[in-house]
Amino acid sequence: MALVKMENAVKNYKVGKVEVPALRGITLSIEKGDFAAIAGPSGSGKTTMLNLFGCLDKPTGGKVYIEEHDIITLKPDQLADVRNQHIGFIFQSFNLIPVLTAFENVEFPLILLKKHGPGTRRKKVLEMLAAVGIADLANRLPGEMSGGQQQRVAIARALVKQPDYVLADEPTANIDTKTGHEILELMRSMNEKLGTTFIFSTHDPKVMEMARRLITVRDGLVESDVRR
Amino acid sequence: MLRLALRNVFRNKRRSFLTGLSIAVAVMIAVYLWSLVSGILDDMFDNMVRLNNGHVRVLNKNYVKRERMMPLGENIPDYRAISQAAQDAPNVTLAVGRIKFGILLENQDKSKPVFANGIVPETESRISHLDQKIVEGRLIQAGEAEMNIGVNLARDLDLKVGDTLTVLTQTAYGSVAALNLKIVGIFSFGVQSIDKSTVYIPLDKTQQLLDLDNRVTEIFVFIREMNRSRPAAREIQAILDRDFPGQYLARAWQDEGIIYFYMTWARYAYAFLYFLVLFLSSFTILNTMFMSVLERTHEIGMMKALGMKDRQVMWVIVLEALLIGGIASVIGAAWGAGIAYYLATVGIDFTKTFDQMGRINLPISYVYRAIFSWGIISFGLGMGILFSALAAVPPALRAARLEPTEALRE
Ligand SMILES: Nc1ncnc2c1ncn2[C@@H]1O[C@H](COP(=O)(O)OP(=O)(O)O)[C@@H](O)[C@H]1O
Ligand SMILES: [Mg+2]
Repeated sequence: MALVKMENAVKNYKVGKVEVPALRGITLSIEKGDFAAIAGPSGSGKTTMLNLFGCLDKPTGGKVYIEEHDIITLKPDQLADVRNQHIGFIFQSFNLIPVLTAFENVEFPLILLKKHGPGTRRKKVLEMLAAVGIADLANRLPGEMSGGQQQRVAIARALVKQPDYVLADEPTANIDTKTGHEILELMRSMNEKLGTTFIFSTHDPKVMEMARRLITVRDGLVESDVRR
Repeated sequence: MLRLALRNVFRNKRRSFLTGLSIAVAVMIAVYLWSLVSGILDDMFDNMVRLNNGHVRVLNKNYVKRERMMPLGENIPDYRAISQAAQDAPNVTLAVGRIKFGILLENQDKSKPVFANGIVPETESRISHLDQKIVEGRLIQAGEAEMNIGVNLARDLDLKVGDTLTVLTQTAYGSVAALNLKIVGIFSFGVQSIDKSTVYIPLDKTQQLLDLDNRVTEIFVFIREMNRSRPAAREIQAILDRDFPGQYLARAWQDEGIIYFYMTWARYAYAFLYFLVLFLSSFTILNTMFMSVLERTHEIGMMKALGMKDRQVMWVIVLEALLIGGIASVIGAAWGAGIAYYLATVGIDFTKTFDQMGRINLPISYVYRAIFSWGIISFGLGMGILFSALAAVPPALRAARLEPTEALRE
């Protein structure tokens, strides 16, 4: 079953009076359990694709369906609900809230979700911190952690509400190769253990190798889409 | 959310502190200045009412037109009947006549025109408390050729208790009249215009001097509650119109042009200042929150990406401003209350200032006292918080309108 799909999706950006095409007709569907890399050179449209998958933006042409909803028809608050309930995000520069501890950062999406009481939240957060291997850092502030540790917190934050799928835009771009490898290993083990669907972008060939589905884009079009 | 806002307040301690300080100072100024201004105004009205007006004043209609000239000819021939009728009206505690006129006081080579009040000594204690204000000698007595004068006047003309002076004036019929009066007491109201240029003479002697028989120029009426003066004035007016159609006027103190003028003017001027101070200080909140939002563009974009709604984003920003503004307002209100309490118990002495400024024709006391009122303090506190919250709205809207994709762009 497709979690999210694009049908001939087009995205143009207006720069002054000129329309810059970022996506020029993409048809693609992400299936449950995918561990998919979107690969391509800089400027090929990877971020734009993830923004559409993430309900952060709407296409200028074609359709994007999430859980059978056409996102064009959703209002800002409804889009926020979809993101909150169904999608996890991992950002290139971690984007943790600097004044909150690791624990509080991971708890944050659960608070927005308003589904669990404090006790349940605490249990879920601690479990997730343990799962990403930083249970002992729960009370540290982001500023007191290394890049790799911060990205682990970010992964815990994305996974704690058990989203349908997780989007990660160049999750390893800001950390060294070895740590990047560990982070990707972690994501893949989560994919295997919890069945969480991951879609991440990269232009690093080593990272592409670890994907089980490799989608290559170039100039706003899908060049190839292979499963391994 | 509260935790997040609280931590954000402490994120830039210096900036939050300075912002808070400016709010605290503004609230402090607002609170203590209002306490002081209220104290001064209340004192002024109290003096005006007690010394110049009574709660309701009955006058000849023609007197009103030329009140400044104190026209003795436009008097109240029906004094006895009217004061009796007024006394019988509900809620009236006192209705007593008086005559205000001008005299020339002379001592050796110095002379000075002053206001003289012909009063009934026995009832004056219930009006101006003259008996309690005597600092030397005693109160004048009915039927005697005596007078009480103010301390400043005594000093200016080198007069002492026991001195006898010839006073010159014009009678109701325009002829010049003179009378020897003995100074039996010196009073101090602590009020510039009274202590410097007023004398009190028994009403009966005054009537003799001015050829006014049993007449007076004004009747002061006092009622049980000062702020019920207007309905009381209407009742008395009805009696006057019934018994003496078209001749007399009963006017409540609020409707005395000059009092009303000063009251509104002072209140508006101060209210303007009050809100100006708060308005200016709220700009520091506006500025701080804008900087804060700008610095946190990425973070806000991320929070929106995680599913935070526009309203929630606004709330986080407003809450942060409310925390700074709220804590600062509490501190500022406490400071202001402290100063107000000090000013209410100790007061500010303006004796020197007034002596240098010379004559002011307002019944302002030499010592100002603030009013210590929880109402004023909590209003200041509330306004501080309200202005902080309002000032946070534009930056909060800006934060809420951020597009997550734009905000997250590297
Ligand atoms: N907000 C924007 N405004 C204008 N042009 C944009 C914007 N975002 C992306 N683009 C353009 O769209 C194309 C695709 O960008 P992007 O999706 O960020 O590529 P990638 O993530 O693969 O580097 C690029 O040509 C880029 O310049
Ligand atoms: Mg990109």
